[in-house]
Amino acid sequence: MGKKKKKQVVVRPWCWYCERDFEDEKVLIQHQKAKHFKCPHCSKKLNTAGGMVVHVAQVHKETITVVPNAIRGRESTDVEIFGMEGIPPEDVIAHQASLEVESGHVVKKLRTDSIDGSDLSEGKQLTQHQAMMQNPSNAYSYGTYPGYPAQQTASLMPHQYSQFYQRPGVPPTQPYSQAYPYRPSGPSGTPPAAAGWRPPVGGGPAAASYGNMPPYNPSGANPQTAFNGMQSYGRPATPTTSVTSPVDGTYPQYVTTTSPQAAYQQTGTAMAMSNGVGMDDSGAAISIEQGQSVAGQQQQGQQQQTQKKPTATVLVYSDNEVSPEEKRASLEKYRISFGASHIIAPSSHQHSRPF
Amino acid sequence: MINSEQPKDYRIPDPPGDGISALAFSPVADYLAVSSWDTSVRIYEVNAAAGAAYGKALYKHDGAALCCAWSKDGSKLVSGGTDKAGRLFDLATQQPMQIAQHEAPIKTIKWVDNQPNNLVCTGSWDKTVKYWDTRTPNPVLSIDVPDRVYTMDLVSPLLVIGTADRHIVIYNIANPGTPYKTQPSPLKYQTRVISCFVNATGYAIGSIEGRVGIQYLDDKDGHSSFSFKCHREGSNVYSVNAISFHPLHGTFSTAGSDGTFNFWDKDSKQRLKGFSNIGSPISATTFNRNGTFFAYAAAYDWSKGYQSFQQNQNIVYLHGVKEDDVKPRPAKKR
Repeated sequence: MGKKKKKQVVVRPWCWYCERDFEDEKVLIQHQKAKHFKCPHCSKKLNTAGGMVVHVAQVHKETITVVPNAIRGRESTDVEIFGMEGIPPEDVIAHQASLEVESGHVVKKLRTDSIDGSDLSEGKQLTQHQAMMQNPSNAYSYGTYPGYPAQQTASLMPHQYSQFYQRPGVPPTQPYSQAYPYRPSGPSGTPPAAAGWRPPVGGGPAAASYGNMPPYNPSGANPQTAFNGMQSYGRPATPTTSVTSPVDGTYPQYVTTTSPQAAYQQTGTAMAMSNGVGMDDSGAAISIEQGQSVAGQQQQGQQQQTQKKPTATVLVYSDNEVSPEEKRASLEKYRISFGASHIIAPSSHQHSRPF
Repeated sequence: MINSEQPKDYRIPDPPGDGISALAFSPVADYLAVSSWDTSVRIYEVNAAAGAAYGKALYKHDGAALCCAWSKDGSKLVSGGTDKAGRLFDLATQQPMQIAQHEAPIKTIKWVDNQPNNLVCTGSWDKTVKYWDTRTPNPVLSIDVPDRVYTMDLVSPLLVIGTADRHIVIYNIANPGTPYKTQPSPLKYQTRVISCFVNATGYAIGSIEGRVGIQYLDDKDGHSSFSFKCHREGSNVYSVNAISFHPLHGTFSTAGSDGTFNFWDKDSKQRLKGFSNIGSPISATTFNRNGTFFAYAAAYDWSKGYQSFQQNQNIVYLHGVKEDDVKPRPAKKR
């Protein structure tokens, strides 16, 4: 276990604009000059965002308001960043927290101890963890959970914490297994917590159904999710899930709030793909999905599972089998000079209703 | 349909009485052909100088007209419809005549303009694509495709056919009997529209899931194929109904059920211009021959089924294209 202890998270120099980290601060500064402080008109590399603004204003007589290639929420040219200097302290903390998660410190243990297998992604576990850390007083309420003695409530909290730092291999103690009052089995047999957290994969008609839990709906809650017409392909904001007291002694309610912190922590791994942030009407970059080729589809499917969409998407026209024109043509009024069913009925079409 | 407002673009008078299925500008004159679900195919003359348009000709199918296309010399218009017939309208004689016949509605029709004898190519829901000499009643060639033909585009020598179940069949028109390539769609949802690049090196494909794929034919360019999302509003994902390439610049437009259209530059991967919601799905688009006009049809596309069907929403707008909105732009420095 000595080796484990050595695995302390070392914070490498990292770029505030895109959450990339580097071997050395020199490299970081080079990166910032090349990626974020380069004049879009003449490719001159400036030292700071402010320097770039002044350069663009004086040399090219144009104004620039966003830092190129910066993740959403960090495009401001007003923040004076040079290397690691000038990073807002809250972002430093957020970055550190994300590193802890990525290093597997927290996650692995949670995963091995997870009751219903390990279908929680890192982000979910992180946010769950955060919800507890930030809000231990009201994160969970146990008193009314059926079968759980109320007098144990006081001693429960340490258990809750300890699970995150438990060594792997140490079997959970008995009270521990009951320390998941927020994830009782629903009537359907599915853990409602999972139903509440997991966004529907791939949209489609099923997207509207969330089982019997309150819908997961972070839409619009976070400015990071407000994409302009097109959605960046980067890993979107992850809502923090916190749990309030049970209602009427039945299942607890799940309340989702969005935390910018969580959002930032998620961006690091996906930034390479989301170049297209900061779009406006003209000159908007197309965010590219190279993984969209046929070969990449499976990979993308996996991404969709582990990745939270900013909003659950709903196909306005959702019948993948039959085109809208075929449906329209089967309408009575368009069967002008033929008998019924001159439209070939597609055999693969299992929907019985014509529209 | 929030934020919808009537576009300031010119409305063509005397529009069809039902949904607009296709638009086509003549390659030699400012004639705009409009095929409609009201069975008619209309030809309007667009007077650019006076900023006016008026009806020039009209003929009818026995069922809804689903597609139309001009011959290269602009003297003839062909169209196809749910009456399973392909019809040819000769501007000189002003007479329509039937030139093609399928077992099911003809969804798409194109001229094979590099052939000396004026071949017409039709794609149908009967899972065939047929070539027709306009002077003979029988097809010159009939090819079977994997499923119902939904869309097809031809820029010689490239013919790309998109069918139901996401099949893509690519032909070299010089060798129409054998597919050059058969592949599944790069997009995961139903193919809505395919449009070839003006230089025939690839094609753009739009799906019902608000996404456009840019596909290059050449394998060595394969890595440059990509796709992007568009025509989405909040959590709603709209179908991409139309993709039209600018004839000179090679940039392209997309239009969708959401009622917006955009101009894009595929090479620099940028949106050149976005337009606000017109309050109705856009069912068809086209550029005129030199790309100075962009015509788009505000008409119901059946994306929300019969319930949302309103008879009165059938308008063809003419948008004067600003050069800066369609000129390719250098890629943004990253």
